[in-house]
Amino acid sequence: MNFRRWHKWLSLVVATQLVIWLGTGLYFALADHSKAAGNTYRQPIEPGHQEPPARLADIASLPVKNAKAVRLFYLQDMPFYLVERHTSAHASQPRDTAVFNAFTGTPVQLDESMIKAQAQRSYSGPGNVLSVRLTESPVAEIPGYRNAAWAVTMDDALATTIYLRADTAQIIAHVDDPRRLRNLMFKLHFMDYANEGSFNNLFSQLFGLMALLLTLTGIWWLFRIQKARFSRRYPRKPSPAQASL
Amino acid sequence: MIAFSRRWHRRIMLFTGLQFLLWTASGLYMVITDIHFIHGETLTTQQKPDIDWQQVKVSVTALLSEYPKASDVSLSMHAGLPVYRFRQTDDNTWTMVNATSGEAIPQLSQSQAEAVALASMKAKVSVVEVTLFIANGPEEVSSRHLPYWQVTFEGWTSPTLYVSALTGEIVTARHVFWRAFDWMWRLHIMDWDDGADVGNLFLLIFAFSGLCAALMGAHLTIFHVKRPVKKWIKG
Repeated sequence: MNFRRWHKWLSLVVATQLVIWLGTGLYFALADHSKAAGNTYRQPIEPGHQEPPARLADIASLPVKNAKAVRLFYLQDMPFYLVERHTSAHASQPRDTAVFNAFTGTPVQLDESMIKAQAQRSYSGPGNVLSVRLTESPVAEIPGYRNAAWAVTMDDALATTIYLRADTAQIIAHVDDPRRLRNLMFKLHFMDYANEGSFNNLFSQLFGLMALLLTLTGIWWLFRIQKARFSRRYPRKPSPAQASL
Repeated sequence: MIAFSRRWHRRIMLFTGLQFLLWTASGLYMVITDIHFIHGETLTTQQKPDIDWQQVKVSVTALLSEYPKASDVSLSMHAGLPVYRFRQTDDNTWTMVNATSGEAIPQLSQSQAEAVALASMKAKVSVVEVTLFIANGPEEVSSRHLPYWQVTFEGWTSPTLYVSALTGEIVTARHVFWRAFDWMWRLHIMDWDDGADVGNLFLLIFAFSGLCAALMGAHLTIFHVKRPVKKWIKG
């Protein structure tokens, strides 16, 4: 089997994905990256507290034995302790945490009203809250995120859903229609058809290898065509010695 | 129609062929190397030590009365001691305070940074070089982590850990495969300068012309699957 046949049969397998790679690549080159990230109606949450609270519960008195770190954070001017029992290299990876009221030292679960208020503080759009629900990992619209999250749905024209960490109510992302389009483009470009939020998958590896072979055989074919065209256009003249024979 | 596709597939590929090679080679590199390995997560121990509660003598209340501008306060272990780390909102700098004595911990010395880096490495390797960067640092680390110590270890992959001089934390890990990945990314998005701009004109032009060439190539493929290349070449 020669390189031309290789090129033909590889292209038969890879063609659709190659067009998808180039089409999605074109999208990435053209997209407004701030809007595509879901930031149309996102605004930073200004820290509310100005003065340190008078007295907080002693960290050492919290009912936890094993903790890697304890963090003080504020939610709507209320102080909380986040106890990290297990952490990963990235915040999106699984982590084992507990949250305590920093005034009383008692464990708390953030409720819907706090989540709703926090989501609204991050939102600058015209919509109102439609629903608030707790979702378990994995969350389809934020691939790669591996912890529980709150989803606050807004009734705006972009169908914005605000995702917040289940433990701290930290904003993970605003997912609206432009972001859903970007998610789809990433899924197609990375061949992440299992929605794992990763390009390290067997599909992309196999098709990546075939695309490289397709390119190499194509370049070789192109080189041969150009060489033949050059020879036809500039045929080699016989040397004087050959001509005299 | 097929002659048009053949002619323009060849012509556009003369223009974009080399970039196709860069796209596919860089893309293949990026998908076959595990991203967690690239991020250096396999170089260092990910699990941090548990807080030694017996040693925690300073309360958060006492800390905040001493440092009223403290934000993002955390408590964890550093070099066998519990420490508070926080950001001062007035000048945006990070501070580390001993949670046993309440004393501020000064910037890490060279030997302290080296000890932190050595304790974090999974493999037993020797340190080759330790350098402090204060105002400007290498391109491979974000400047927001300054000031930091660069600790380079022996080995052909040149593993390098960056230790914050203020907080004593490992801020990032780099090695030859990360550096190669960074270059693959730049080649892939056609931003050879710093790899920060996906929306650049080169990528737009090459992706558009490449897409046209690929569609014409697909046309040729359908044609040649119906009619083998050999027959076509023979006429």
